[in-house]
Amino acid sequence: MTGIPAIASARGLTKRFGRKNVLRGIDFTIPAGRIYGLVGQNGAGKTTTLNALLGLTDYGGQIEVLGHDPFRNRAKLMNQVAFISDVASLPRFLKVRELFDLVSDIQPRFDREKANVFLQGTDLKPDLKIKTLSKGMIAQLHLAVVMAIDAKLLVLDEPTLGLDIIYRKRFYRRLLEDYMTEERTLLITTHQVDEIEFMLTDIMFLHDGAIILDTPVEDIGLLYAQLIVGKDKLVEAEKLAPIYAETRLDQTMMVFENVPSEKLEPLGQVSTPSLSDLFVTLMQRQNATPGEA
Amino acid sequence: MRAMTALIKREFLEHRGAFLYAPAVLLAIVSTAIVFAVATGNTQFDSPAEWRLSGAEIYRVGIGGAFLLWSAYLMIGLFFYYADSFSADRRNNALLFWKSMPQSDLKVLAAKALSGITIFLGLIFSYAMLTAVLVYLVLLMVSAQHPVIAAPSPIEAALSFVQMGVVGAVYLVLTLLWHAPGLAWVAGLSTLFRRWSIPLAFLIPGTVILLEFLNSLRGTGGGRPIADFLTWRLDGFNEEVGTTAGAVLMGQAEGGPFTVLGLMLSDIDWLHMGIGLIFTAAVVYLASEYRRRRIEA
Repeated sequence: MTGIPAIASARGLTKRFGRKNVLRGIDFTIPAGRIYGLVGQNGAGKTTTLNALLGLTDYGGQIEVLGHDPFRNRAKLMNQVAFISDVASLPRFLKVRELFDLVSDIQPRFDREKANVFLQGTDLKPDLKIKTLSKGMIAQLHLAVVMAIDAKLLVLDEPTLGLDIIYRKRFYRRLLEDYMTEERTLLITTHQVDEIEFMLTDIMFLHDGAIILDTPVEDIGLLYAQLIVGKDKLVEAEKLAPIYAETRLDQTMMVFENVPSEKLEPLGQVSTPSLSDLFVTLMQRQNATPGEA
Repeated sequence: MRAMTALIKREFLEHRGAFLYAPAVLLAIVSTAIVFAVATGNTQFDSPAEWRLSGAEIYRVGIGGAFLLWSAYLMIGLFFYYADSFSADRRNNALLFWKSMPQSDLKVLAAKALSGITIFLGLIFSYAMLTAVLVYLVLLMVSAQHPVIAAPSPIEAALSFVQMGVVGAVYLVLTLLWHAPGLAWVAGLSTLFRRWSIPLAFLIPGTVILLEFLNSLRGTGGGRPIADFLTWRLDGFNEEVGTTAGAVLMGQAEGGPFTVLGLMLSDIDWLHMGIGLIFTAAVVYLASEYRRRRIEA
């Protein structure tokens, strides 16, 4: 990724709420054209990180997003950034048509025609009041608004929280098919890692205000390996120091870090761990050895 | 400018109930009641001996009264509007949507502050002028029943309508600008305390005045400057101006509608008006800085 300009970067990012350190001096760089997943347990600091990137909260350390200090220049930054932090946050007193009128006037990069196209085939009609819409319909409307904004960075914070599985699938499919281009960067947080795994190019795991993994998804296979091992090779496999092991019926699933696959292949079935399995693995290791992050 | 206009329009959309629909309903009810009373009332009318108002004078007094009543409606409506609007975006997490737009918190709050003197004042002015038309129609009905009360001719009525419209517009603007610090006070409180701003807007100065009164009982000779200042600030126009303006409109003193306009303009303490507007601007700025740091509902 060397040479690709960074869309956002943070150096020594800290945030405190009272006596609690929510972010403990984290560093990261998000290059352009990537789909970045920010994953962590509740209270890990995901939303605080996003809020700092979007200029919604003050912070310690340095952040630069598209050349701006977000907290000082949020309004300018939002000319090139779109975000959904809560799909239920659309102003409820407006009708769909009034919302489009308003956004056309206050967001210069909003393309009303595009938004109308996104709503085709849905039950959303221009004269419906937002307060009468279901949560799923509001999510569709919010996504239509955001996707009609020609932004360089799209930030989604738990965008499908509370939505049923049909809407969630549709949400991500449309996002990927209708919005993403090489010029756009997407930063997304969710609890349901498995739902977005297929679309991510990069993953960042946060634990207790610190980054414990920040890597391209394609490199995960180089760093981690999952081994399904039978009882007969269990002792041998344990000698290679797995970072996680879980026994399911007669087989044991193990995850290894920086162990060459040539050493693992004779012991059983080797594969790359899914992001959700890797997340569970790394979280358990952190919880077992707190303070290592 | 386009964004500011859109943000003001958004305020209208959110609060059209209070400034568009409610006044329409109020006017419809009052008009119906008056027309019904005139149409079904006693056709015998004994004019008092001292009765000597011309139709044009009655009409001007009627329009003046309409502006007084509508200005009271405007100020009450705006008090409740500002007691809510500076924190209204925090409901249903809508603040997150507004912050996703490329508009600063200062601009959003400035739009709310300006809505009072633009769209909402404009709407109430329109209702006052509509009331003036209705007053003329009622005068025509009354004069048809009681020739002793002559309605003004259409030309006289049109002239009074325009002149009193100008006087009324200036009156509404001056009243609003004079009381802007009071509205900013409740708006600033609403930023911090949301709907509790309404009781606090009275409780805080009330407590200060009470403490000042208790202190004055000790006979320190300091008087009650805070209470005196707030009373003076709340009074608005001098009582004498009101009496003279009434006399001018009723033909009991020299002059016409523009004399009333001159009286109002000369009665304003422009220095305090300016200080009040600076205070208002400062409250809007501080509220925007607070809002800049808020994201949660």
